[in-house]
Amino acid sequence: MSPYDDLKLNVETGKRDAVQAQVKQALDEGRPAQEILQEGLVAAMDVVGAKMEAEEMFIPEVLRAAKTMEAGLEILKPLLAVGDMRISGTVLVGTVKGDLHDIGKNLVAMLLSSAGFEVKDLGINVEPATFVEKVKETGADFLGMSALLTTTMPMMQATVDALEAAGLRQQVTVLIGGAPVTQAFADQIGADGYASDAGAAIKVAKELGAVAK
Amino acid sequence: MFLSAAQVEGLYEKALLFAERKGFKVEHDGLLTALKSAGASADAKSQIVTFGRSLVEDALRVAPSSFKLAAIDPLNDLPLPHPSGGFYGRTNTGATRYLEPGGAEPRPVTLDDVGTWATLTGQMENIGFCGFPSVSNVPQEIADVEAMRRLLGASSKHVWVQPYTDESLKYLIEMALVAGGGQDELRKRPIMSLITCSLTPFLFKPMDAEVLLAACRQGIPIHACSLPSAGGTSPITPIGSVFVAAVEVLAMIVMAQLLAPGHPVIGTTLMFAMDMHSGRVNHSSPEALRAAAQAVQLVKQAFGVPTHTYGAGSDSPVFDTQTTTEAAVQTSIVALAGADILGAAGQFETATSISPLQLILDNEVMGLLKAVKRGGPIDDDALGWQTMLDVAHGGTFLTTDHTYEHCRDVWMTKLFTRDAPDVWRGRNHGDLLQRLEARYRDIIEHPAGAFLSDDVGAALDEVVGHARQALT
Repeated sequence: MSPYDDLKLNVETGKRDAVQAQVKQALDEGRPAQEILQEGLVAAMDVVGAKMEAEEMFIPEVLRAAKTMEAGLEILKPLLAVGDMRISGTVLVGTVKGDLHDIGKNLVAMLLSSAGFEVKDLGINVEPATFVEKVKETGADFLGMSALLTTTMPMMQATVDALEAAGLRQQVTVLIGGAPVTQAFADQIGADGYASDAGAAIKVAKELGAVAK
Repeated sequence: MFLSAAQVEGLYEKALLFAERKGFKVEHDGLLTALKSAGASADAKSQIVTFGRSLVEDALRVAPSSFKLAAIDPLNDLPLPHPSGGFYGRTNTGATRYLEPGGAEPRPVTLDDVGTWATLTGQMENIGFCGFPSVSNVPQEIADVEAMRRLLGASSKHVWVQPYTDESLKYLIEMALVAGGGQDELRKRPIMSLITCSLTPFLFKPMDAEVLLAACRQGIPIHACSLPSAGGTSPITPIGSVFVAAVEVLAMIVMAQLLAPGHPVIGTTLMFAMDMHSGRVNHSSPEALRAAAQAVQLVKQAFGVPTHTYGAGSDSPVFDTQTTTEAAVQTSIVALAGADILGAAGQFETATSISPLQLILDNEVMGLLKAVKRGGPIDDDALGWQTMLDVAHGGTFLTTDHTYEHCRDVWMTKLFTRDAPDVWRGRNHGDLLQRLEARYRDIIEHPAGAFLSDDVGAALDEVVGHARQALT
């Protein structure tokens, strides 16, 4: 039995107050912040990710768990050294030009964040030129584009083309998703990855991130 | 029904309260100004519009409960509500993928598919009007303009149009004016209706405001469309989602009546539910179906305008027996809920793919449901009262005059079979899929002729040419 079993369960079940109390208690007992983070909070989210993939947890439960994990992390942050918080990569996300729908994109952003990615959300109705400018400015590892409307899907192609024209295509991994988007469409426009839903987005980002590294 | 009278009344009161207290955000200065002049409370800075009770009730009083969607061929006009208590079907709009009969995988929609789609619709007696799917092989800036031109060239029915951009709206209306015979004639006989949508929850974007303003200016009927996704853009509880759709439709009815009193508006509630495992939205779940039925009833009874919702379609990612089953369930529930227009014929994969075979099947199922709904008076003739008094105990009705006179009242299927197995084998009619394919081939090999004159066709081509020049 791990000393963090209770903490992990409380993260998984979204018990914010209990998690914060247990994190403080662990610190009081002299446990290192890095250990509490990795063996408690991060380990809990690994379980959550696996349960989500197995369809044992619903999205609102996953999001609650992620927020709970963040509440625990807030206490640890001042005690963690630079480098203790491993970042899986930086991701720019946005809904493409002409499309104002952001639920799917927001969901992916929240889940990526809870999975250890640094997420920069460019919002909705994002012009191809803005995506390009932000990739250049941030040096992001990933660019995630979302479209809900069939009529705005071509903007994904336009963005990929704009990245190519700017000479940035090889430095960023392009992921796409949204209700009408398919793997075939991703292949057609030259995206690196496609995710059919928010849970899959995390998996694809991690897999492509590992390949890139 | 799906809601009691008391529940409808309670939700109506809540909707009025919501319109007055919370209101809606309208991101269009021109529309905000027009609404304010017409009596709404509109704040230019926050862009929030609220409607007081009397304003809403006045608007509902002038919103027409009956009007006509005209067709290019007047024989295909659609009086609303349906004169015999039925409904009209309409095709999918906006799908990006097209499954050829016999094809393994859907492929991107082409402009030629729009022509095929319209040709098929022309011969579907239960599909009243046609929309266009999302075409991939033309410049996207004018994809809607090109698709509408193709639709008008192949259809004699009413068309409904969702403009893709502010810029293309002008050309779509120009085409309607050309095909409809000019401004006055189009106003009298609107051969086109326009879709204007809220961005759920409670927001109206500039483009939809433009559509609303243009439609009211030209007298073009509006499908006031709300598409909530329960758990995402609306409460996860189905009735909460119904309420969101209803108040957004209410806002569009009120706005239209303030701009043009008496303007025809169709309350269009397209209900989705978010899958809590994947985040995808669907419309075939029981929660979405219940919401669709309740929204139709609420909008119809509380606001008094014709209603429109998905009355076909499936969330299945492939065209299979799930597709046909879910579509038939959707048709049944929505038809029995009293919807005036049953949309989405021919679609699967949650509106993303279309199949001509599914369109033909949906037409048949809609015919069946219309027959189920056909009521008629309950009188002595309907009861067969005299015949019952006359028949011997243990006798037969088969040979009576009453049976003779009414034996052709029944709905005759064109696709389903009720043959005995040996008869069915002997006729060599194949299974349902084979019969659908045969019907498809028959329609495509014998298309109806053109409906618009060469002059009108040339004028439409000119509009498309202008759009190409200006927008690409």
